[in-house]
Amino acid sequence: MALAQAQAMQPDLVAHPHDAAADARLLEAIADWADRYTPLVGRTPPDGLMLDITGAAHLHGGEAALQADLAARIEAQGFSARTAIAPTPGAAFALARYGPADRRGLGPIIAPDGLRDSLAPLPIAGLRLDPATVAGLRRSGLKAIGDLLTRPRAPLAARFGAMLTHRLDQALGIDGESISPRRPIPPAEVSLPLVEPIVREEDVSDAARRLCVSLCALLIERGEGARHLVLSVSRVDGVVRRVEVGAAEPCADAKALHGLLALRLGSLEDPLEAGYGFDFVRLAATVTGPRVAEAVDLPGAGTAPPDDAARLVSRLADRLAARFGREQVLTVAMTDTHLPEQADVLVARGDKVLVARGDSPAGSRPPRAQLAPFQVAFEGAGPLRPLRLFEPPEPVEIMASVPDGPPLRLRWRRQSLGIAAAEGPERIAAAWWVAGAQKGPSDARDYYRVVDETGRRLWIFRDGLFGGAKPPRWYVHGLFA
Amino acid sequence: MTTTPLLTAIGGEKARQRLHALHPAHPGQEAATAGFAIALALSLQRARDAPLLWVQDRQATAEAGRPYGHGLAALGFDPARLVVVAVKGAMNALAAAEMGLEEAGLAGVLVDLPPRLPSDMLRLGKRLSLRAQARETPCFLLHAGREPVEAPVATRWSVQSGRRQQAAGSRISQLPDLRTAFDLTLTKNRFGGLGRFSVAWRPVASIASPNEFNHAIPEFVFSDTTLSEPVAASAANRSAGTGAVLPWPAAAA
Repeated sequence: MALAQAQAMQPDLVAHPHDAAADARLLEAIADWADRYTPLVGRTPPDGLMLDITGAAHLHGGEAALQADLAARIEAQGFSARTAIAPTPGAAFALARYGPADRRGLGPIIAPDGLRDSLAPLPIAGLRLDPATVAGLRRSGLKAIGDLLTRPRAPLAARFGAMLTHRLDQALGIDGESISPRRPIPPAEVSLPLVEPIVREEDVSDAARRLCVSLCALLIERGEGARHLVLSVSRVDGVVRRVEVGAAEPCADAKALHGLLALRLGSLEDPLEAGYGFDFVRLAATVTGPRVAEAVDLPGAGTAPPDDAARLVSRLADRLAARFGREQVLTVAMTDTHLPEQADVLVARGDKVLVARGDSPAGSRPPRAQLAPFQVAFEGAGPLRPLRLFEPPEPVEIMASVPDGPPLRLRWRRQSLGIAAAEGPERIAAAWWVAGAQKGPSDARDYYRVVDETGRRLWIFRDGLFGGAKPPRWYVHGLFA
Repeated sequence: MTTTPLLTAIGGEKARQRLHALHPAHPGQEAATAGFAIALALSLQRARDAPLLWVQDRQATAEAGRPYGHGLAALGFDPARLVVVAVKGAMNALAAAEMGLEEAGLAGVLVDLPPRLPSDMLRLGKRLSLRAQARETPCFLLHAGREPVEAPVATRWSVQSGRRQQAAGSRISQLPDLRTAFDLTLTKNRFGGLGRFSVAWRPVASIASPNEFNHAIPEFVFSDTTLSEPVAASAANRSAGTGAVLPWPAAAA
């Protein structure tokens, strides 16, 4: 019915344009919620979800109990849904949409031997075919799936394409079909359904602690540790919140993992809104790795092993990352390049060091972060590189007696000062041997270490050469101690 | 720990479990301030590979620059030992510092504080101070604001790069002495007198080869300390019981 027709029949009709994106978001949220029944939740756009409950139904009291529970909870959230359980995704799709259902939307539960009979009366549209094929079949007088089952396959495939027989085989389980899950299946996960919803923060933390203990038991059995954890808490009204933490080293220590989760829960930008309470908590280890064997004391020695620096750093970094975000915890990575701003980069812990752009084309050789030497001063010269570096370099006005001479006076941050001493220049050229490396206006910088009247030690450079296309410009690149 | 006059003046080993405030003497001396804090942390450390946490407020980093690995190595600090955490605002910076001080075994915690500090800095500082004491990890508050940090610190320093060498060779044609040195003013000291220090930060063994590339990072110590104490000790610094009020001029009696 067109909108104009409907409005003619019912003048008070309120019309809203269809918002497909909002529908998709809602379906996503429901899919998140449906995670409580099985980790394998797929979507069948525009309006369906496909849950693979193989091996998961008994956890909820069997297939019928699971279906009833799902229907009741969905209804309590204000939705109406039709459900069906079948041995194949294709049959489940057809039965949920076109099969018989009771008042609550509960469709049939089909056993493998009843598959053919239950599909036969359903319309052809249930086979997930494109509309043109469905229309063509209807014109030929083939209206129900049963009409196709009794006919020879070769003429059908010749006239309507191989897709028709393929879909038919998928529905009957002759061709295999897998549900593509929305999220990767975590290597290890544990869940905690709660009879009474919990509201208090301490209770959520306690639930997380219990889950950590069982998850770690699972991981220890496999000799693995978790590197990334996702805690999902489902509210009674179906809203699911996911909280993620990472660990630098594979970890199977329940106390440490719970500590990270507690830190993260305590520092959420928008805290968990309990509403009517949370009734389902799940903890998944989405990334795991083999645990490094630890040296433990012989019984009776009675002393804890000394905490080595590496373990201390990774524990501290994990805790800081849980509180402030992984990308905020940085380490200095030295790379083998002569360009000062690329010779040392601050990278998030655990990130791979990127190959410096100007120095070597990507992929030509691995970054030699470990091999890069330090430019430590020799006796008498003082440090050659500053302790603090400005990113980007700050422009400064410089006066010199002759164009190429050392700087005599500088004007920086609204202060004009004389230069007491200058040492240089140290010429640092761009990586001319790499095509496309010279992105800047010039190809050489002359660096000076200078001391101004107030005793500040600056690392300044002149970008460009006199007589070039553009006049050279001066910058402060760093401060010496 | 090598005992030097500077460390003796601030209580030696006791300085390890304390909070220290460091202010640049002038704008642009933020690197000297951080360099001195690292030098102090290295002098007080117990293990040579102990990591150091540097908490950086974003605003402070924008104004003073980020730590640079080669510069750290030139001060005798292996950049691989550094963990940097970038945060926004003083509250987060102090929270990160507190998390660092909860771990035992760090060489120290450096905090680049933004110019604006929270009003209850005294309470937050007390927390840091107690944690530093419990874990025997020094904590250095670096602050470039106009007002000093209101916190229960053991020492308070005003820091700038050493200048005495420059005074001798002021002509540009001469090569300047750019070796690391600090001119320090100790304005609060819980363990002893106040005064001005001038110290150099030098490698223990001389680096023989004039090769600027070194894989090994040399060990540095404070050396050539000169100390000038103030003529009169400040009220807070006088020892109890010795203060007798004398009339002046004495002859008037």
